[in-house]
Amino acid sequence: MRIPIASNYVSAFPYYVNLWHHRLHPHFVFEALAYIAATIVFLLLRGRFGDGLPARTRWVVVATAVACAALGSKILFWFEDPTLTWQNLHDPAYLMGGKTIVGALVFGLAGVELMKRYIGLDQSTGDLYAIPLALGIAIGRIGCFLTGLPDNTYGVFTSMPWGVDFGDGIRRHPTQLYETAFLLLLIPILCRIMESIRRAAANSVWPETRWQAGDAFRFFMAMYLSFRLVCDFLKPYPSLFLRLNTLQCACLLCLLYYSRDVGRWLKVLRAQLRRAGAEGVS
Amino acid sequence: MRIFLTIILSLGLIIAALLPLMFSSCAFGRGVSAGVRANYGFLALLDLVVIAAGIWAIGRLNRKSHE
Repeated sequence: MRIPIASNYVSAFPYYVNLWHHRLHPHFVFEALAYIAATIVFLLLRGRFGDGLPARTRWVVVATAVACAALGSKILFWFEDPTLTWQNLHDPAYLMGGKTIVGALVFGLAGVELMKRYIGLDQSTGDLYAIPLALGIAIGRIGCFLTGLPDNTYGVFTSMPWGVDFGDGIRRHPTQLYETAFLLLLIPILCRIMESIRRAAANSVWPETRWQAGDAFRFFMAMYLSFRLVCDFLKPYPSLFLRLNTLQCACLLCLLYYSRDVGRWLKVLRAQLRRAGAEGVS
Repeated sequence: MRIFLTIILSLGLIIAALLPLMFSSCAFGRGVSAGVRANYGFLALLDLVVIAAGIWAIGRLNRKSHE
């Protein structure tokens, strides 16, 4: 991605977006687009699948999720490279500059679970967020890609033909685009799970071999965090423990939290395969 | 009244939470001076305190009233 100008080279990154004669930073544009798209999709899904929560409780859950996610995205960023954070303790612009999606998801989840316990709510609340989150992150990552090196989400060197030079002369894994592609592939699966949950809710039956209420969000979390656990090996972050970086450790902890659900989903998948096989025979 | 307060508080909390995210340092051009960036940083830290207080308030408001 280098544009040749005479004998010199000028990096195309950050790739600024020109909008109504204004030169806007790609991260800002795509992050704003991500929030807007996620909100619209959330409202559409709520219209299609309904919402089992009273409006006031939904407001509490959404506000808590957004606020805890914002806090978490900053807190985990500070622990991403503890040495660098320690050196920049006097620089508020650095402290408030970065953020991580893994931190937002993990702290958002923890915050909502704690709030639910605090207000005495024992109902699943996350299914309606699964698809908007996947779409929002997929769009936001395009902004990360177009920002290039300052975004600090690029991959390590690769000799693959799709390697991208973000301006430092090294062809790197475009890990941001890997994430976008993964999430776009995940969305149809989440749609099927949502449909399955809706059918089960309509019949008021929740057998062990079917998707349960809350599974769409849990499945999204488990899949995304598993992806990040693997994908972050392609990123040049400092390792913290057993060659894992801070974000990967957070992913592992959260995956442990979902381990019982993963076992149950394997039963669901086996039952679905059996049903498909039986239908094929008959 | 409690519903109205919850909605207003939730909206305020969401806006306060999104502000520091939208204006992360990479969203600033290189022309912005260090002083402006530092001021922004302090405001963002203040915003984090507002967020924490908002979460506490919204939980307190809805604790015993959940049907």
